[in-house]
Amino acid sequence: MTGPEQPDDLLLALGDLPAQEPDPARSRAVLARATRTIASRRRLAQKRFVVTAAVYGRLLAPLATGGLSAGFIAAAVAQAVVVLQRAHAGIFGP
Amino acid sequence: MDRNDELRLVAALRRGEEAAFAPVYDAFRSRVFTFILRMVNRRAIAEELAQEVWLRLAVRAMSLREDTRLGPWLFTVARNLCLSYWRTRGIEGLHDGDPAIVEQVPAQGASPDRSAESSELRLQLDAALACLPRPYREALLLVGVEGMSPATAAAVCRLSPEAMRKRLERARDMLAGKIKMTRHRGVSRREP
Repeated sequence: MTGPEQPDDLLLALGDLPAQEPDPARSRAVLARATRTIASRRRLAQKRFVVTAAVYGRLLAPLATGGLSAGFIAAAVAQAVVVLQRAHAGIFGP
Repeated sequence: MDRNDELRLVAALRRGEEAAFAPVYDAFRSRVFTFILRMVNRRAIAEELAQEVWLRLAVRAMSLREDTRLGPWLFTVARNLCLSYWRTRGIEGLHDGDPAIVEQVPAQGASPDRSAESSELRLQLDAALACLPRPYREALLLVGVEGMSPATAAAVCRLSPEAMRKRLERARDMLAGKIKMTRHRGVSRREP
């Protein structure tokens, strides 16, 4: 066997195969949609951070000052149970 | 794109900077699209799947690992989407690899002065690739066309490096056999 049908030569020849381009209009639309998605995910993450900080602030501030009431502790424990159950269901769910 | 640029872009994507997306898209757009096109052999489907790859990157940008290698990440997603496409349609082994469905898309940017022989070889290679069974085709596309190391291609295909090495060896032999057969047929056709 001679010429480019040798397996090693073919592997090299594969590298020369021309690339194809997607449709330009569609390509621009994909780029625009993707950048919008990234921006919206960032804003969502920022909102989550603010909410989480507020929740932790409400929980940690009373912890630091030792001013937690029995009702607050009961509510926090109940909430933690609900969150854990949901997380468990999310991980091992049906 | 060198590794430092890649790490910089990954860091920016992790921060949710949308401006980091365009350079990644420009660098990999045609490579990802070509890979998918050669996997599914249909342009319209390839457009759909390629779009999905980029939207997945956008959705997961902020949860990328800081040492993510964008090429293997994108090709892994692209490959998984191709597999899902075949699985949901149940067409692997039915239409897949049938050269009759291969859409010969003219290469963009091909200069007219290229020799007829090399163009013919490219056509033969494209047709032979399309006829290979999917596991061998993807191995050749990742290593031969994309220039990935066999170890990286193994990670993309979730194989051990040894399994990828064997697959590549077999794929190269199959491709050589198909090319040889095509040429033999061509010579026989020309003879009276």
